[in-house]
Amino acid sequence: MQELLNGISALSIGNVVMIGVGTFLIYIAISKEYEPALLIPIGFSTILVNIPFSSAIDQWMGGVLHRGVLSIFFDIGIITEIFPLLIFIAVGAMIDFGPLLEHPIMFLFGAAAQFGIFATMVVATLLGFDIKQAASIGIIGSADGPTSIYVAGRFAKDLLGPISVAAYSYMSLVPIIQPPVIKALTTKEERRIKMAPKSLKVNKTARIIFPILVTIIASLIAPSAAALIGFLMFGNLLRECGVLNSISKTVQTELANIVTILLGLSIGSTMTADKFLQPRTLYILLLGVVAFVFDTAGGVLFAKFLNLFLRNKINPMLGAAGISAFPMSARVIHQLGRKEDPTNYLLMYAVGANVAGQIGSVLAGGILIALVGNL
Amino acid sequence: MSNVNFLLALKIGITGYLALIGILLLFYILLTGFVKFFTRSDSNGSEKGEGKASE
Repeated sequence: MQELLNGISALSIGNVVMIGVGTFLIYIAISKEYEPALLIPIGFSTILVNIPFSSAIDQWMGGVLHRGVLSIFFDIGIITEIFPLLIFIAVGAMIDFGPLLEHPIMFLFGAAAQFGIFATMVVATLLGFDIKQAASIGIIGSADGPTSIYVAGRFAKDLLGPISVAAYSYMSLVPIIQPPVIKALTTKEERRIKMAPKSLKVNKTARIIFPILVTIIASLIAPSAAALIGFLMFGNLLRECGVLNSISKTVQTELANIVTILLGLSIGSTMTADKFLQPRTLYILLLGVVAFVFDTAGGVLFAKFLNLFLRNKINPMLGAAGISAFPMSARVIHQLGRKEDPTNYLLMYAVGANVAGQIGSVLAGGILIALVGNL
Repeated sequence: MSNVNFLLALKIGITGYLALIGILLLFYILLTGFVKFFTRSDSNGSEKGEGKASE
């Protein structure tokens, strides 16, 4: 009889709080629709791993290790970096780089709006995090879940849970985080700047060559980003080549869904009470917001800086679309533009900056791995 | 220790951000030429295609 009550008698306050956290994640995923595909598996997995003696994670019993399925998922998917890379193939297949090819200048905002990654890393060291932990927290500013998981999985596995939750939650909160920052840094006149529509249409050959070329050039310059950028661009090649439509569709739907579930469950397996219920979790959640604010500010201020030299001014709000939260950020910028002037149509430029942000965030991850990896 | 980490992070942050802007600036320059080249070759291709169809 005593054996049957072991679980209940070993339940600590920490376990109860974490079961509450898991339930809360499921609640906001369903009621607010904040990244449900990720937050529901993370939330459920969090509940599962906080049951005392749960067979879902590794347990030592009588000196023997009993492997748990979630720990196995974590080892084969996160430690080996396979899950985030598979997600990248799906993301690449979902992205249409056409708007970026039509407006190449948007590439610059894809870099500028990664400012939050580097600035937050610096701030994190002031809060006592070591350089690898700080880099993993800074990468929340990539506004890109798989990149955050990839970098944090390499540098700070213990922080993977809060970093992933912050990255995915704040991506959903882009419509709340970005507008006040943009408004604070721009004048009404600047927000009303119109962008002339382009009639340029990029042909199929260019769309096919683009992912191959980006892979080669980016990997040559930053070899540490080769896997990240390569898998992203491989997915895009599947989409654009025109002879693998069925595979492209499968990658965008079935593969993305299956890997997302496994990724979420694996991340949730790290959210045990002893690792999550610490002051550093609150810092990470706070620094996540800081990263998104810095990203937005970096993009807007860079656009304003460019305007000092350009004859045809760019609407500085487009700089903020350079974060990788696709397509949320592009939509937010377009709507802000329409609010200021209903005849202003910024969507295609904003999408161009947004997909450039996808490339920029992946490259930023590679650069961080190169600069911090050997320390 | 915290001070050392801060200075190191500052150095990495500045280097990383400038490197990223440099790489994407290079992409911008290359992409501008790339797009120009392919838009031109597309119009040529279309003309050829039309020619074939008329034959």
